[in-house]
Amino acid sequence: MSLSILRGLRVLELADGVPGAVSGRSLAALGAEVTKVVGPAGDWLSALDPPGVAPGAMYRQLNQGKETLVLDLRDTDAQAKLHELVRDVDICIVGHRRATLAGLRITYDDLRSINPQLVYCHISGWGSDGPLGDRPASELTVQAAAGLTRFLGTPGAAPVRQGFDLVSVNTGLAAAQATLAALVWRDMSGVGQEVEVSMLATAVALQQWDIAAESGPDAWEGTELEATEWPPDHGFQCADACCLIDLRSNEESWPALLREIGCADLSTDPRFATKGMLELHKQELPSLTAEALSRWSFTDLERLVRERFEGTIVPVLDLAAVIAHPQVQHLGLVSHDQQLVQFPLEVVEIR
Amino acid sequence: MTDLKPAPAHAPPSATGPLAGLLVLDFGQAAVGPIAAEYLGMLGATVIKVESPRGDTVRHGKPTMKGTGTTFIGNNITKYGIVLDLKSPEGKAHAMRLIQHADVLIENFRSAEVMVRLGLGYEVIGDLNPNLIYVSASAYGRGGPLENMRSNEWLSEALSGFTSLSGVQNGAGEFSRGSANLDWNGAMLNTVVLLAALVRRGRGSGGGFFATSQLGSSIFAGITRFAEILDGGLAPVPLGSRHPALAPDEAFRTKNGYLAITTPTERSWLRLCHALGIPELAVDERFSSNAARLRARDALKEIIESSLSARTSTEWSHILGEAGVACGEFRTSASLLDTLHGNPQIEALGLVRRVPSRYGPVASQSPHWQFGETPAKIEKGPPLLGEHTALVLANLNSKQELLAVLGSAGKNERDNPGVAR
Repeated sequence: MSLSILRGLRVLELADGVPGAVSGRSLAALGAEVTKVVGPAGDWLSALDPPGVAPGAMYRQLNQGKETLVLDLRDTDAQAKLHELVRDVDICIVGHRRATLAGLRITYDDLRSINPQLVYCHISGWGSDGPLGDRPASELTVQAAAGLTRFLGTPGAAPVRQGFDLVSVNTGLAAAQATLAALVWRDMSGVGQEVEVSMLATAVALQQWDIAAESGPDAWEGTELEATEWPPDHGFQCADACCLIDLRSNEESWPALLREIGCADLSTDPRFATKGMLELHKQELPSLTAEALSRWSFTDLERLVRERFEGTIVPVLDLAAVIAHPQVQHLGLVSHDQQLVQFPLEVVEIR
Repeated sequence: MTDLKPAPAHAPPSATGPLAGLLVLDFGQAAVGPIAAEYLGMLGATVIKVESPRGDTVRHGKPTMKGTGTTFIGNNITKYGIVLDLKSPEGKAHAMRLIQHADVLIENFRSAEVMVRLGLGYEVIGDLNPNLIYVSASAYGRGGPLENMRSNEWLSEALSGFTSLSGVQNGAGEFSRGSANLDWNGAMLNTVVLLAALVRRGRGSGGGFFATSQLGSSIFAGITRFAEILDGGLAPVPLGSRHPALAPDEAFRTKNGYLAITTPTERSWLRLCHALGIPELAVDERFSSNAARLRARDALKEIIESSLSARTSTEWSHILGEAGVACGEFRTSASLLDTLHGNPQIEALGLVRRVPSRYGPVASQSPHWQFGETPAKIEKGPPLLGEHTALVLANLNSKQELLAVLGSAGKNERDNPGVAR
């Protein structure tokens, strides 16, 4: 599925790995014409095979909808060919390390002299300057350095990574943001420019909630300030599912719900008696209710929570269940024919 | 940035960020809408947040600064604020006049039907202002069985598969106990959509109605993991800190903590063997390719950790970093700000800063992009509830007038951030 919002826009993507590919994939999904330039050895990502999966699965998923051009940019003929292409493109996304750009003749100055209207986006792991400037990075190393794993796993035990590659994917989205914003300005001013994003800056941005919470709060209270020390949160475990129960609009009903599921003692426990106390102690509920809930099927529990308490309850879905979910199918978030995760935008009306 | 020339003479003289001169209306609450509008503010747009008399729900959350939830404060930097009761004829009339001047409107009501019921659906406001870019950043998209269910970070984690993949190896999936990263991911994606629509409009088209969903953006965030199952694998399971298809790529124990090490290529693997002082690993049959190392992960981990146990994480990150190996020290401070400020790279780049505001100096991300010609900036703090209502309503005759008076209000705030006039 490709939308037509960016029809006519031409993009060159010179990047291995995930972030550059996500930016190109997003722009392609929005209708841009994206050409991915890979070296003769190919993108390192195309060599990764999760055990039991067709080779290059991640590469295929991330590079759908692009033309591919193999160029060995160490070679001057290939450089000339690339420079010829640069004349007619709007955006160039570059994910190679700064130190290598001059040798490949793909610095901003190299390309601007060919096309002054070009928007040139450099993507790095740690930024271009500073003590780690231009060093190699990865999803996990940036998650580690930026503190993104601190709400997962058991406090003090081995770190647990985020289930999705959030830093890499969002760095790709950040690169798309920067290039499109620069393009808005270029279409007014006639002038291109160099823009830059990094995985580290993106990892910081993803934590704005926690950053603001620590600003100097009136009191040290709230999830963001306390939850690093809590045990892992697996949700509520009933007989046939792990699930999330949320009574947000009706929080004072927790004691009544606890009584209904067979935890009469907890329903009179002061820790869960008021909204204020619940905020401090709700994370204790899954383990305290585990025995009682083992006698509940998800279907029965769902009916109870929805109908009697007007709450929200959902099971923790694995990826197979996500793909099969009626809402996911209704929105076409994963395409049937191509088995691809779609850029999730519906253009309802354009003028 | 390296060697950039000064802005050319023909650039718009008032330009700061690339979106200077654009008017954005934030009809959102909580996260995915407001954060996207906040990013447009960092890019130079003038952003007006439209709140109900009660205010954005997250004004009332914990923790607080001067009584206002820090979630509100952090999500609404760079904005002006007005209060309109959209259920009253008067409030709705004001909203319509404001919308006439706007370039962008974003809302994240559960469903776009909420705006329709208010009489502000796209079929009304799109006719009023055909150049308006309207983004409905709903919970579960348009139609379907979940259309009217509420959403938040944790519901998104459960329904997108994120939870099922976060956790210790072969253990049960975990929710993130804080740090609503899928909310921010949704805001990032919504921002891409808004900007793409602006590019389209700048090339001669009009506005439009664009619908995203928190469910959709959350699934898109898992694109690399969905690749496994969509290309014939089983539904993936939690792997602790391990990458599903790359080895080594995990957390290794050092003398005093944990260090993340990743070697995406054979060259980087060889560098690692030498930097660890165990060059014989590089010729060990068991570890001769990524596929082999994936099979022998446990044995490899033992060997690497026995070498790492001699030094601290900081020492190793210097050694491996110098050798060109991707690595990162897991920071374990309970305080995120300590973690971030304790990282010399984050400090050198100034990625975290204090923004003066009505609520006191608020810690914030810096803009997460750098522009050679049109610098992204944070030029004002978040608004008090209804801080600019009178000012905006008195200047609804033209967009230029409105932008000008808000510009001076912003300057006043910069001169005297702690005091509201």
